[in-house]
Amino acid sequence: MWKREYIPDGHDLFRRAYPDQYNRETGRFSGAAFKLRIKKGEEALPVSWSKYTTAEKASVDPQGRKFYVGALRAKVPRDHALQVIHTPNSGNRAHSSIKGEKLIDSPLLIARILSKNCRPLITSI
Amino acid sequence: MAVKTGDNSVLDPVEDLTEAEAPESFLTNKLKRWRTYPTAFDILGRLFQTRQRRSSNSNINNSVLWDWATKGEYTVVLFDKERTKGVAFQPNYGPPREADNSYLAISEHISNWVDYPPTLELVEKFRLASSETVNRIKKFAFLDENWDSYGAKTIEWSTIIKAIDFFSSLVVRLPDNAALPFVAPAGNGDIHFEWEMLSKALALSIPEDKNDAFEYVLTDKTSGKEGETYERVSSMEEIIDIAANWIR
Repeated sequence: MWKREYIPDGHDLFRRAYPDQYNRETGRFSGAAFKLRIKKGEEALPVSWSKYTTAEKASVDPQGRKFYVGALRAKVPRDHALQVIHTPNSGNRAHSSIKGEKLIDSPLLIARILSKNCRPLITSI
Repeated sequence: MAVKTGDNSVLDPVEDLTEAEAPESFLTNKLKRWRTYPTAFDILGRLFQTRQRRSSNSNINNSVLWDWATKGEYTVVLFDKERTKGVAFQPNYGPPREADNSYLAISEHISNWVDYPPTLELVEKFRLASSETVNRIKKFAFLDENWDSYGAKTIEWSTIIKAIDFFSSLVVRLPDNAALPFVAPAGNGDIHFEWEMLSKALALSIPEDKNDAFEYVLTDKTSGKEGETYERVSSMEEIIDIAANWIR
């Protein structure tokens, strides 16, 4: 198992998005791409830390499907009382999580904030 | 879910139905006499059929029962002289369900209709404004489990109907030049509507769970720094009011 590390504020977190979640008119991802699926024990938004992956690699899911990718500075969720935690697993050293009560208490507001600050990197498949 | 298992034809918005027979439906049975006007065109310039009746109801001057170029789907549009008065969408032909507001709304106007051709300008104006959004929402029914790679839920047909109900109730209250929303599926099964305008923005979600509130975020960009208001409301009527007042 990989050792957990601190993710610096200036580092990027990659988040995959389904093509229907990208608004070509505004050039932004929808907040829908940052909506938490609340499952017991999984109250976190999965992201990939740029230190251990690239946007291209992050765009491919474990089943080999390709997605769009956006990048978010780690500082953004922290500025909104959320935690950014490195949560590596055996198959994915880049795996990280955004956690916090606001994800559950104000999901649409957090989704909008994260999407507004997300830089689209891959917007075609 | 019946919608997901077989017929994908609802996703084909351009099929030419000029020669096609509309299947029997609750509405066709009620509207015994049809007048067909195969003279309107879809976005790609292909023919589709419109069928319409005029209402003697003083509030409803024109009405259209509109066979979209998608088999097994129809849209009813009620016009007054100047603008769309009401609209109802149904995904499939079939008997009305008691809880279905669209059918109830239609039923109120059916009995007194008489033949009358609507203006194609009105039809086209409404069609362009709504078909893109409605068809996009309906496509979400075909997303499989884990469609976003993060374990997303499927988008339930009940959520889709709710989203279309919301949009169809809202669109008739908006000015003609109002911006259309960007609509997106969310991993928790919700459907998001987002309007991004120069001086303001609105994001709202139609919840999958009937017990969940409708969330919305109003953004005011006029103060130099974006000010955001986040609230929840419990009823469809409230969220329609909020959206209509904010977008105007």
